[in-house]
Amino acid sequence: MALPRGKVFVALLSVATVVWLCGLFVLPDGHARFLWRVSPLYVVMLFGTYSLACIGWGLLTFSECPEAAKELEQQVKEACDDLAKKGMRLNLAHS
Amino acid sequence: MVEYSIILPTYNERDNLPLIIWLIVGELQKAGIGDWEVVVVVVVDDSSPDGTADVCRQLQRIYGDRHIRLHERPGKLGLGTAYRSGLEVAKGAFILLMDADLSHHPKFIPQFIAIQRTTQADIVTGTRYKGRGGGVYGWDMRRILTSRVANYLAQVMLSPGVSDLTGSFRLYRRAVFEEVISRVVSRGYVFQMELITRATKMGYTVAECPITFVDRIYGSSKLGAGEVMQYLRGLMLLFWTL
Ligand SMILES: Nc1nc2c(ncn2[C@@H]2O[C@H](COP(=O)(O)OP(=O)(O)OP(=O)(O)O)[C@@H](O)[C@H]2O)c(=O)[nH]1
Ligand SMILES: [Mg+2]
Repeated sequence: MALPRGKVFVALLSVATVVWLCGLFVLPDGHARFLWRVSPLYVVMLFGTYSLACIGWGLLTFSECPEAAKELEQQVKEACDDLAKKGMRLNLAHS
Repeated sequence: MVEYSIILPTYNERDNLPLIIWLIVGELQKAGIGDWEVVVVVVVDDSSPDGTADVCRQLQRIYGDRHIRLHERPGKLGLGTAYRSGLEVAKGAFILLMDADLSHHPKFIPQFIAIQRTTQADIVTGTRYKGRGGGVYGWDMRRILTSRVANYLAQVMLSPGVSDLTGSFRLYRRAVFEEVISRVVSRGYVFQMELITRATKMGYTVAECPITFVDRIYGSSKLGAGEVMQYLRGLMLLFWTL
């Protein structure tokens, strides 16, 4: 069985953190160092955008099925009639 | 020989049980599934105070107790153990799980069986979120959003390769179900999620069947508040261990 995702994630995160910290030590002051310093922020923002896009897509493609509810309602009526014939009375007053 | 056992857990489903049984019988006959000879419904009732068990006994008189088994338990012991107890009574080579509250329509059972026969999959799972002909009825915007976020988190953290993780309308090969359920530790919504994720990680094959899901009309919801926290905690645990 493969390694759990969470453990892989933590391992990768630790490696990335170490690499990032090393970068902070070796890079000389200046523009490149500044970019390196804020790079984790970009990663987080990228992931956030991806997440929002996925959830948005999920909402857009979410399908409703009013026909299924109609069909069921009709069948519930049929069932009540048929079961009554078989000697079983249903009392579906509360809905 | 019993080929398919349908495990139907019930808690206060006196209104729904006759309707779901009527629908199951009708749909199986329509589909010509062995004149429904090969199917047994196992009702697992937790001594519902509304008298669901009595309703079930009445149904046994109508449809015959060879096709409807009633397994009564002394009190509300929860869904996870209801499936496990049902499994002890169920003799089928295939185990089908569905809710008794009419959210799951029995017309999909023949479709599940057909898909299983053509794909030879170990599990056929109903999906509300993918494919033609599926969907949900009766959820408000908040419920839809919650389900989308919950599903997204699970996809990112577990990548199970299944589009509907928390659904409980599924057909299992008996041995697969026995093996996987014996390892499941979660409860509530996470229970079904762990079951299917575990199964895929263990190498079992899963086929999907689009289903419609109509939110319950009769009776009341048993799963209440605090659910979201339970879900997140359960998800974190699976993220770390599965
Ligand atoms: N035996 C048994 N059955 C249960 C228990 N809790 C729920 N059920 C049944 O399990 C099925 C699914 O439960 P529901 O309460 O519908 O759960 P849900 O679909 O998440 O919530 P709803 O929004 O109320 O539909 C139904 O057939 C219930 O009657 C339990 O503790 N014991
Ligand atoms: Mg339900």
